[in-house]
Amino acid sequence: MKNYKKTYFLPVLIIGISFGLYSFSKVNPRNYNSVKDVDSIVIPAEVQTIIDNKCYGCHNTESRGEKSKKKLNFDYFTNGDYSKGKIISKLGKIKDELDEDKMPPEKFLAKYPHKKLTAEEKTILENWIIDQKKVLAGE
Amino acid sequence: MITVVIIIMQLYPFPKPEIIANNPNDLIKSADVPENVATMLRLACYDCHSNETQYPWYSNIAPVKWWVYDHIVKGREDLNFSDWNSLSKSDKAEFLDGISTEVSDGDMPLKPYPLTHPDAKLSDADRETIAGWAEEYMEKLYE
Ligand code: HEC
Ligand code: HEC
Repeated sequence: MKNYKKTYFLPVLIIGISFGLYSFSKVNPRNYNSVKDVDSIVIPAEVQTIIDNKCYGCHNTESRGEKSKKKLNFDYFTNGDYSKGKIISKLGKIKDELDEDKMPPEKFLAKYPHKKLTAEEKTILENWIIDQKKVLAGE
Repeated sequence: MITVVIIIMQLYPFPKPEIIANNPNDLIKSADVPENVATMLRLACYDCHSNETQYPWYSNIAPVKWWVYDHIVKGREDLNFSDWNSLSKSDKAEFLDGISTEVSDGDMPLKPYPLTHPDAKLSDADRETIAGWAEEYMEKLYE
């Protein structure tokens, strides 16, 4: 029994590792392409920066506010939890909030005035939404 | 004295939201809504969110009517199932998302409504069914 183990262990390990590497190298690029080109949202760096600085704190999986993360969770945009329909809905809801200057909430801005969106940031977000809705929803 | 006040209240004009029976763009008529969901939406939502409001007798008496009519005006303004099929796809997605959130959080139907409409009371399982339907429909819109 001991001998048997010794003879087979190394080849099996090598085959296993090669197989692992092989499938890894195959799957990764394919996933990347199909997700990025067809179904998934594209978030350019300048948009990501605004979201990170002004919105993400209240709208991610680890946020303390139950209501804010339930209504909008930016992590779900990219990890597959939001369906395409859901992403399109959330983009529309962000647009609604921006149009009425409702986000970040006024109460929060009273304490942290530097978190207010500048006019320029608002325009960047709005153009991004219009563009993504066109790409994703064809509208 | 109170009788006089109530009679005077009745004279205060407050237009009654119109009932329209024929709505070709209605959600249940135009989309493929499972029967159990359709029944729940009719019983729990349609009085405020469609043109087919059924007014109980007391809802036409002031001061109750001011309150009831106001909910119907606002409810229809926000979301009117009678106009469903005239909405764009992305508006449908937003409403379905809203329905899923409002119903699973227990915010809809408005809290006092099931007190006078026992059929509109939704169990936790009912709420899950409606939210699940809304999420699935939202996904199917873009398949
Ligand atoms: C200080 C915390 C905080 C920050 C920062 C914040 N939000 Fe919110 N957001 C909330 C809360 C709380 C709610 C839930 C409000 C409610 O339902 O009453 C919310 C809700 C929303 C909703 C859902 C609205 C709806 O009715 O479905 C959107 C969209 C949104 N926020 C977008 C943003 C955007 C975009 C930013 C950045 C520009 C942002 N938020 C920054 C706290 C925050
Ligand atoms: C008694 C009247 C009434 C009933 C019944 C009712 N609603 Fe509402 N609904 C309202 C009103 C009024 C509003 C406007 C927002 C507010 O004032 O809270 C509203 C708002 C909403 C919204 C938000 C629309 C938006 O702008 O995104 C949704 C979604 C909704 N209702 C879904 C439902 C669903 C689903 C049901 C049934 C399960 C239901 N409502 C039953 C009165 C009602």
